[in-house]
Amino acid sequence: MVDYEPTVVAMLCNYCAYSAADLAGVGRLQYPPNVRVVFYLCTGKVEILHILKAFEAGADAVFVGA
Amino acid sequence: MRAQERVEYAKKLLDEIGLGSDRLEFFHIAASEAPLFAKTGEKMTERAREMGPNPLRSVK
Amino acid sequence: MIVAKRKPFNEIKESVSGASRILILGCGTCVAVCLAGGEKEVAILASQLRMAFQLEDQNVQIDELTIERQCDREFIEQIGTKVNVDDYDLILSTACAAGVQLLSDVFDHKVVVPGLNTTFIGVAEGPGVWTERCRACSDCVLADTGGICPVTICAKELLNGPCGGARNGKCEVDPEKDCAWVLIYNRLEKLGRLDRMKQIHAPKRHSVQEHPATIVHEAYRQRYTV
Ligand code: SF4
Ligand code: SF4
Repeated sequence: MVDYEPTVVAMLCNYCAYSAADLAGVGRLQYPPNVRVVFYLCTGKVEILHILKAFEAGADAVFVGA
Repeated sequence: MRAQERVEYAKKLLDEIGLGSDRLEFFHIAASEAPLFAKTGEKMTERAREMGPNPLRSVK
Repeated sequence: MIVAKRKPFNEIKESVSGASRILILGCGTCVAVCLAGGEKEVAILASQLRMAFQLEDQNVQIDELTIERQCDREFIEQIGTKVNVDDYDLILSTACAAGVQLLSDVFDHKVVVPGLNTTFIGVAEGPGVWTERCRACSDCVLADTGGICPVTICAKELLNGPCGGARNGKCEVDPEKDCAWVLIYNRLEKLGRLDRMKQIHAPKRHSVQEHPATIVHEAYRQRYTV
């Protein structure tokens, strides 16, 4: 395990995972501050290029939540 | 799921360039599943820690 | 349209190795529609190459440009208004092989390499699926075959089928595939044109296929004859 603070990009769908993230906030649920949320109206719009660009920009991990 | 198909394809593209497909994942998280979202965030952060920094970051 | 498929990444990477300034040139027509070499695919390939070279600590400049068509000099000439081709060591073209070759003609002092494998003339069946429909035989028989091409679809390219090997509408050569002549029969029956099938077709006139072929429109003949 390497000691560093990773940047995790979360690409989330408005209707599913983003609402879950919102709810997590409302419910004061702890989740790592490393997670940076990118909001999509629908993850159907997540393009392959967006994912690649996130890595090109230095993201350590990316997840798509729907 | 279209996004899921695309994520699978993007994983292959990441393998091709040698960055590794493990850095990318797709999850089903329903609107009511706040704990699952928090857990997923933790899981991916942990995984990123284990894999070490994105080598493209150090070049920058 | 022309349907093509991206080459394996490692093959592309190997073919551009040694160049330090690369222009990836997309084609906005056929290969854009078949999701192989249009603007989006150029961006994906460029991003992949950038990361792959960076991971190897190689400093390679990769630029992107997509033009309407690479099989037409008129469009290729417009490249000069957008970029200076002499700024690059190598052009990686994601057009079909016809586009790659015309680029090589026009920029005869530049290395031009293909990013795609050009595969067939076909149609879009639905999102992400294409099928071959024509072999460009130069002597189209579709009028007699209910609009279904036996040259492309029949494994034996029979003009007077079926061969007798059809089983439940499938081809004996590949039981996964439909027998072209069963398809043709059904279609002609539906159209009330079965008499077309009863005619005996003369052997294919392969002599009309010239390779490499050239077509000069009759109205333009004078200017190309000396
Ligand atoms: S260069 Fe090839 S892919 Fe591009 S428009 Fe012409 S035929 Fe189609
Ligand atoms: S017969 Fe088939 S291969 Fe020949 S031109 Fe017609 S569709 Fe194309």
